[in-house]
Amino acid sequence: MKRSRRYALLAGIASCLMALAPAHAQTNQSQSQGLLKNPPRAFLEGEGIDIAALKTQTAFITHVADAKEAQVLVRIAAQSTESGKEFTLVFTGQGEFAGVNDKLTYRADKSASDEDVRKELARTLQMGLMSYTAKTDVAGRISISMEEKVKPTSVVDPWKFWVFKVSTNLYMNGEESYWDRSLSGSFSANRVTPEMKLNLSVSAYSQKNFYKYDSQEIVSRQDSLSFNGLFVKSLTEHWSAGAYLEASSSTYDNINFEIIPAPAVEFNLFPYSQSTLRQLRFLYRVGFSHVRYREETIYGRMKENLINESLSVTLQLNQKWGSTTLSISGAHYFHDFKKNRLGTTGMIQLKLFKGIQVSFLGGASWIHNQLSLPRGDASFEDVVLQRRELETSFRYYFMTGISFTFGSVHSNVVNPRFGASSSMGQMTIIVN
Amino acid sequence: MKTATNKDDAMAKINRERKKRRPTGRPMQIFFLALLMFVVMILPDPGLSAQQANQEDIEALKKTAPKIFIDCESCDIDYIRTEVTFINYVRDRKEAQVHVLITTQNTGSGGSEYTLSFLGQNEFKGDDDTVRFFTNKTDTPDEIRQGLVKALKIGLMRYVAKTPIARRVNIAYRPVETAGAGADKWNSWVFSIGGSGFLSKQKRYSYQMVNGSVSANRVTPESKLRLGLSWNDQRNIFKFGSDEVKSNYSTQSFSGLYVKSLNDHWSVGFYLNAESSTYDNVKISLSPAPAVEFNLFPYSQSTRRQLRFLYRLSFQAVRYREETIYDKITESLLSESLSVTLELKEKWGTVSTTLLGRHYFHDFNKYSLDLNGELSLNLLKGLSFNIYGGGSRIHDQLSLPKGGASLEEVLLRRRQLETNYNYYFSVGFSYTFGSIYTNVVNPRFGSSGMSMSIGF
Repeated sequence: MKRSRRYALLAGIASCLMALAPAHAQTNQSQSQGLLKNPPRAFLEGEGIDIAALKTQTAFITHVADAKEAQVLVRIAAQSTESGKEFTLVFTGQGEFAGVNDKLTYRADKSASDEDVRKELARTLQMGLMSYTAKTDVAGRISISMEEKVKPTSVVDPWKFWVFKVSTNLYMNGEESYWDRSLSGSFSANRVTPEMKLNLSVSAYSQKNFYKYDSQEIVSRQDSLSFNGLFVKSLTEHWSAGAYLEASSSTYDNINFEIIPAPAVEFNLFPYSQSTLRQLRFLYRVGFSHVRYREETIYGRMKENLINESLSVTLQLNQKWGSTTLSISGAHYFHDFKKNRLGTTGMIQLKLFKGIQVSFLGGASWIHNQLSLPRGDASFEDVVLQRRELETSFRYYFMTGISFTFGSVHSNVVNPRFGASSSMGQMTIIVN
Repeated sequence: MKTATNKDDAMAKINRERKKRRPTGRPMQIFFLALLMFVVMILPDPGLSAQQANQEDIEALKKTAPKIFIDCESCDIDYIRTEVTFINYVRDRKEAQVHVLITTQNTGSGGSEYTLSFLGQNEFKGDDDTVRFFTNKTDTPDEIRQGLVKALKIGLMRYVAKTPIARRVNIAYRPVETAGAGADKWNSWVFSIGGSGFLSKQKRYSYQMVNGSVSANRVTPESKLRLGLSWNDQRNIFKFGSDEVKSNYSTQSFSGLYVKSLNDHWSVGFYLNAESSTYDNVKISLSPAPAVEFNLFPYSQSTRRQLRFLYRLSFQAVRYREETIYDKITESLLSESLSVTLELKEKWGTVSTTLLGRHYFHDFNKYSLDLNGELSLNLLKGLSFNIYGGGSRIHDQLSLPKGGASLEEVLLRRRQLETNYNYYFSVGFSYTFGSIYTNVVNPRFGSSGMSMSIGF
């Protein structure tokens, strides 16, 4: 009985699907298979317009003699107005470009020279043809640029570049013998202009994990609360000065409350304007911290005032052959120069030959400044779940990956059937 | 109407400026320069120098440039802002004149297809376009962002052409030297070999991981063949007092899939999977499974919308590592499953949800039902809301070992544990207000942080 009902249900679903499928068994012609190989075929017409001159300005398309042969029809009409002449360019797509239509106007001032008018009309035509060119291989040979530098702040903005954000998030996960839940919230206020940068944020995070093991119940929690402030003033293309203000409370670090004001200065060997391509930044910072611990530390302290200095050097390159980020930082406390830390991290991603890609990621630290370690021993679950900072004098990680791909390079086919292909592994690392 | 007059005014102003700057003869130029310098020296407001007029001019033009919202999860947005300066960037889609929705899909050669959907809004309502570009698997992040910027610039032209800043944008063309690409001697086959290792250590804790994979794929519009072999080994060591606790995890798997396209809505295919896993207590399992799929939307729209029904009939021969709670060390099983997947990516947000049901034929009470979904919405100005979650009813844990798991296996979640259900749920919202413009890139003191994706 039960079984037959189930089959009836399945049959019902199947027949619904059949009914939904359209009768015309359309093949996947419209499916993306890459860009069209040939430049768009265009036919230009317009009374009293110097079509020959326009043709030489649009060498990236094929001009055909017959409107029927064309994929794009361009009709140019000129009309005299009080202030000068108005050109209307109507673009109509045909064949592969059916439905891709546009209309542009160019108004020439009475005082404009013939040469200027010709140039501006050609520019308008070029721009209108871009929609069609974009769908062909020719797109790769087009470059579009604006020579003049313009300040990004040349806009009318009643908020004077202030941006505020409130956000909150809840996460829960569970099964019979395990559950966890976390809650976080944050508020931020930012103002970024080329001359200065101000970032202010408050965030809170709380996580609780619960395990059942033999009738035994294990609960583990981690909480943190923090404020982060940063002000940076741009001095020159190479120098900036600023100050951090950080306040936090964290169970992981055994910190009840900590506040650190820290003035800082930065020098970039490359001009900041090239920062998306390359950066070599030296950041020096002096921190004055006042800290109160949750439990007595291994040095017998419940609270203390500390001064430290740190220097970090960061190199970032983003080039055709690959990307790299390397960073070295060192810090020490002034009351005891032996309380120091030296750390380095690096990432290199290289394209060696066609098809071979190599990546390295690694980091190492020598740690002699764990002033906040609590005196008591960590519990077994604190160690296994990494819920507490543990005593150590070093820490390192290293990763390397290589991949070699060969075979067809022409296959720009997208075939979404049975789900997208599973990428084998992907890792995103964020370094500040 | 209002914008048209604005545009006319701006154009008229620009033409006036241009007239001012038209070159005259050389002696005249020198004379004018001298006069200009004199005027500059005596006037308190030196607003007439050609350089400055030009600068003011471009700044006036920038104010009228199209307002664009770039909707992309994995783009290097700082690079885009640095390279494309003839538009204004806004942070909310409702403020924009053009919403650029950028989606990606994997291509047969292991690269990506980027689809840039240009959606005109407000003054540009109804003015839509789509531009695509393709990357290769081994393209570096720099090559990918250059390609994206090129496609973005080309797609933006039809909007820029309708604003006065168009007069400052140049289009150049580099002619082709050689004939087009030759035939594909690999006949669409793509092979890939990859491996990676990770090692991390401190005084009381160490972790190491090694993985590798080999794949051969052939993807054409008519068929899809994917073959892959992969393995993964992980080891943790903890020092606790004088004890040393070790925990291992290892899987090896082979997966094969062949799909034949029938029409724009139907496909048939065949899976062949083999697996060995310590997590699942499986020594070796082999399962061939024929399957059929129906997509309510045409496959050609898959980057924006999909509603797929996938039915699969699986045969499985399995040998366990330890005796199971059902006293089995080997068994042969037959099961069927149906999954329904809805994926929508629209300008108001994304929806992605899957419902999967499965049962064994030898005992219909051995079944599982799984629902998971994700919804992210941007309905009002500045307000974004996202929710994701899932839940399962589980009555088919046939591979559970009799022996149970140790404390560290429980804490590190190294073993499948007996359960009737599992769930996860997350909800988040954020509200942003203030300036709508996001034109500025300020890299001082290491702004955005740098991220790098390593694929293997």
